[in-house]
Amino acid sequence: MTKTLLFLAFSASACLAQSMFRGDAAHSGTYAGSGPRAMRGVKWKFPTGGRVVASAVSRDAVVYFGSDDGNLYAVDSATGHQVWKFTTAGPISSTPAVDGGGVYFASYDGKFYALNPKSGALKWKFASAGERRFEAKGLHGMQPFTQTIADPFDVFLSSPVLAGGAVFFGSGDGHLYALDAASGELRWKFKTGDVVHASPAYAAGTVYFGSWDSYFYAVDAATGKEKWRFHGGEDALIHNQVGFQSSPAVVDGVVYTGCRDSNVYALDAATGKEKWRVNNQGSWVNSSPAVANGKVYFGTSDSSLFQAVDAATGKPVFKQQLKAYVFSSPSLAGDAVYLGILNGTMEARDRNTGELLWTFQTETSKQNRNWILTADGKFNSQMFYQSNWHEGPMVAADRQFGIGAIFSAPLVADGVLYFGSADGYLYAIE
Amino acid sequence: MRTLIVILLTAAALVRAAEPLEARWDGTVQIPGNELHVVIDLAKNGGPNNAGQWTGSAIVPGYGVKGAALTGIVVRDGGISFTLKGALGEPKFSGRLNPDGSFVGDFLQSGNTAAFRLLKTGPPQVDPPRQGSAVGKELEGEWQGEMVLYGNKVKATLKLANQPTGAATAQFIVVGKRENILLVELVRQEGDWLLVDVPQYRMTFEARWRKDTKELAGTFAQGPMETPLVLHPAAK
Repeated sequence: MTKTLLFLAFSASACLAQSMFRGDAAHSGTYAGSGPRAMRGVKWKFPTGGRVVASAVSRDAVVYFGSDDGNLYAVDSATGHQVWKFTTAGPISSTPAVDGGGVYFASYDGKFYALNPKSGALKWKFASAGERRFEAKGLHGMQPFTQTIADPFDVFLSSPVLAGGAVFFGSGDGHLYALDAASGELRWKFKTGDVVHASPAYAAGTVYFGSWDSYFYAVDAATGKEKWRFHGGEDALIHNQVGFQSSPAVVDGVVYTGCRDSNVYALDAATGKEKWRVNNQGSWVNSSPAVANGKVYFGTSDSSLFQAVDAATGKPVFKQQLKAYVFSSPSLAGDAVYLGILNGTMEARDRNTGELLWTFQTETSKQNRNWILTADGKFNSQMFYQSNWHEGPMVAADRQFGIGAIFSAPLVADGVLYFGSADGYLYAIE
Repeated sequence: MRTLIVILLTAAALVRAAEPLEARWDGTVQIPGNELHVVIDLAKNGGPNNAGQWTGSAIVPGYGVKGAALTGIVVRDGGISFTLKGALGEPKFSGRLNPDGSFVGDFLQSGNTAAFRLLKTGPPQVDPPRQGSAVGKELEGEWQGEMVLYGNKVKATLKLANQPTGAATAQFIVVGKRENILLVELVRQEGDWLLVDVPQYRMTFEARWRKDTKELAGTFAQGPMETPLVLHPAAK
């Protein structure tokens, strides 16, 4: 009994000791306590100079998050006032990981940073071979076909995971890196065939992650040696149905991940053998699954669905039609699940039935400049997508995101919901 | 005693009420075809050395502007004007309080003028300006090195000196075909990291002090261009 208590105490302190993307190293997407089941309103909102696409983490009553304005912010969770900011030379589309020793995150300037959590002072930084977005000729049918085009929907950078004194993250240079968290020294790097912007998950000495090269990898955390790889779909023509942008969750010996090939996969964590897949008929699954109590929750892009399936079989539990694409990842807390949508809304739903509890809409979304949305909140693509030539698709994506799109996965801490929006704000909802 | 406290509190409240511009202001500039969202923080008595002076900063979501300093703040005859420093071509705001409580006026940028209207959303949250720091004794003095800049080998000299104000100043000289003396605005040391900032040319030198080799090993950057630069103490 004493041993059990000691183990529980250690587990609890280990959980509290680190904060990172999706709540824990295994990326379950499950948060302690409850979030708001009924919405009282905005507790505070914190403006930045750029889109806030990544997610927030919290520790010791401070919320940490990055903005595409190049700054990593530490904000007092009670007041919403800035504690400090640290400026990098590129957008920070990566969710930080925080422990007592540091705040760790990647920037589009090609550097990976470790800061002092109290002061924001630089501890160390590490240069990868440089960041870039996924790109291909004829990408998504964009014209001219002969020209390489960067993907405007490759919005996230890889978010780090902390485990065993190391910090693991992916890079646009195609590698997964393992650095010593204390010194920033390189422990090992693992090469894939394309951009790695999905975030690695860690469980039982193994790091799991997907790459845009169409493979999903399991790598030994200590040595960087490959344990297995799983081949997702390919799309040689327009490179639309390929690549892992979704980040995996590892629960009870099973890896769950979405993929741009429109599947959600359940893989055996030890062997990589496929247990089941849920196909979404051409709709990307960029959302990172949340897993708890035998259910897997995820959202889809074009079909705009929020689904829960049985974790053992992949059979549907519920399916709810949303109004717009989902890139955000569902967060579970108490009996609710929270999910951001690209039309600038945040939804709370009952985690057992998927029924809507409440919706929050950003001011930018309400204003609906240039009628990016229809009157009932769906994307009004005829009004913002004029051409697939030249920069047309880029301009369209920019207009689409400008509605205050919510890419960010919500953080639940002390009953408050925190998330970023492409309108430049971090919101605290209670 | 209680009466005195009440009087003091009332007096303090009156003083604050006398500065209705002191707030966070949120609204838009009506640029044709592009409503510009701006957040302006204005505060008085920013610190012990500038009591009674106005300070301010601006946020422009979507333009990468967070905490840009407001300079030349002038409050006169119910009106206020200031310049947004180092961003958006340094526009000037000139406005006044409306009877409805809004802050309205003109936004002047590159010869263009647009109306702005901002609403009070709470107390000010002025971003403090970046502060320089003193450097360690081991870093004071002259440092020299070479780097490759745009394909050319150039010599770099950095002279660091602590000042009685508590912050260090620097002279940064880069010699290629000609000698360029860079206007250093900020020197800051945090632990073993040194930052030398030359915002006028978007240049920075960021280096780590290597105690074992007695060198400043880092990167010279101009905008997105970066090149390694290692500085050694100049021969005496």
